[in-house]
Amino acid sequence: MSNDAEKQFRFEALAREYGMDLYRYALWICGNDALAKDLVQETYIRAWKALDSLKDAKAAKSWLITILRREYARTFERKVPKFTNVEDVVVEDTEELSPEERAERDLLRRGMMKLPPRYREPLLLQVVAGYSCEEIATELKLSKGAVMTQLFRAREKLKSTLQDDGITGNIHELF
Amino acid sequence: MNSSEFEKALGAEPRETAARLEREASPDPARRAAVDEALAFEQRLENALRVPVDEEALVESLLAAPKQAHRRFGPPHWLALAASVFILAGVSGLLWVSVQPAGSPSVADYVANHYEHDGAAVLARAGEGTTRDEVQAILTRLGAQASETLVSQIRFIKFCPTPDSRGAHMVLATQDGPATVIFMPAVQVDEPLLLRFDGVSAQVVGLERGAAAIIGASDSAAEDLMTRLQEGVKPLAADA
Repeated sequence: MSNDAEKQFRFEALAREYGMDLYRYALWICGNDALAKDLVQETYIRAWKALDSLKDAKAAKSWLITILRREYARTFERKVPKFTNVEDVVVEDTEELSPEERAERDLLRRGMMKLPPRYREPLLLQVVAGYSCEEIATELKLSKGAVMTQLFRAREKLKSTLQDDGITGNIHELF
Repeated sequence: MNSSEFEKALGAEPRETAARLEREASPDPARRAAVDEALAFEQRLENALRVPVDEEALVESLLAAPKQAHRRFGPPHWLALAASVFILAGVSGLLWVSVQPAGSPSVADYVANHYEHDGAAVLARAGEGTTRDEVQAILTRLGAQASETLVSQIRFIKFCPTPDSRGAHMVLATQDGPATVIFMPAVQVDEPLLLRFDGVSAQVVGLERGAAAIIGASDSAAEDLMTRLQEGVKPLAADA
């Protein structure tokens, strides 16, 4: 296989294997479908250019996430886009859910969008990207203890969102 | 691990903590109940964050990255050197006409290549619809604003690479069906360009700042769009 063909093959594998996770990560970070797609596309353009520097295939995901985070910081360093309504961002689920399950899922999504970035980002790295606490600490340049605290608080905030809305009956106002 | 440490570990790493408890074969029923509850919440959280995505369209757009990288970052180094020789020889003026900033590919080539690459795929996504907020957010990031009339015609919008800057690729509803418009903030054209490629016709028109390519519209719709774009797309007040 020629070098060009091999590079193309490696790149396609990266796109197919990690594209969805990167898009979801970008979507929950920036809260806007069009911007998330643009962000992921920019990430892959830069990945293509720097593909030769990726020596360890096992590090591909964290390599792409790092590129995406840098691109996000660079793109949005002047202005953070306002989150759109979650219903405008998320494609309608096709899976069949009960009204209660759907309402709870919507509340979780809204809660996620309301989380401050310092809580949201480590949680996304863990839940969407599958990072361990150590990996999150490395990526965010934090101590493992700080990461664990942020993850704990992020989940507590999401749980309290569910409890508050559930207890007061707001969950049913979604219908 | 005391209760406080266990609670924190479970909230921070539910799956790892559950696995640890399993390995330790802890008989503590309270901890087991807490783990079950945490894992149930984790499953709901994962389901909520796993938003549906059109995987095929996404991957297809990512696979286009090499082509975009090539366009974005220009021709290979040896070509740049060759171009420099031409420039030194004083022939660059013959090669680069006034329709684009120095160093860019020709606007006509860009429009044709971009539409060939992405036009049909973007047209197909017009059915997804878009919101005014989304349109305004993208235009604002490009330093532009559009009239309400124009915004109401936009059925889909996305960022796209354009000569020397990022631009917007849009699908607009017209009286004769959908038409594609590519907004190129950094391109200047003095006179409208008429293009024909792949069986479609296109017009590139200058705006107050930047230019727009109208592709695949009927003659009357193109004329109407041209007027609306020229009158309706303005630089943001701070950028004016």
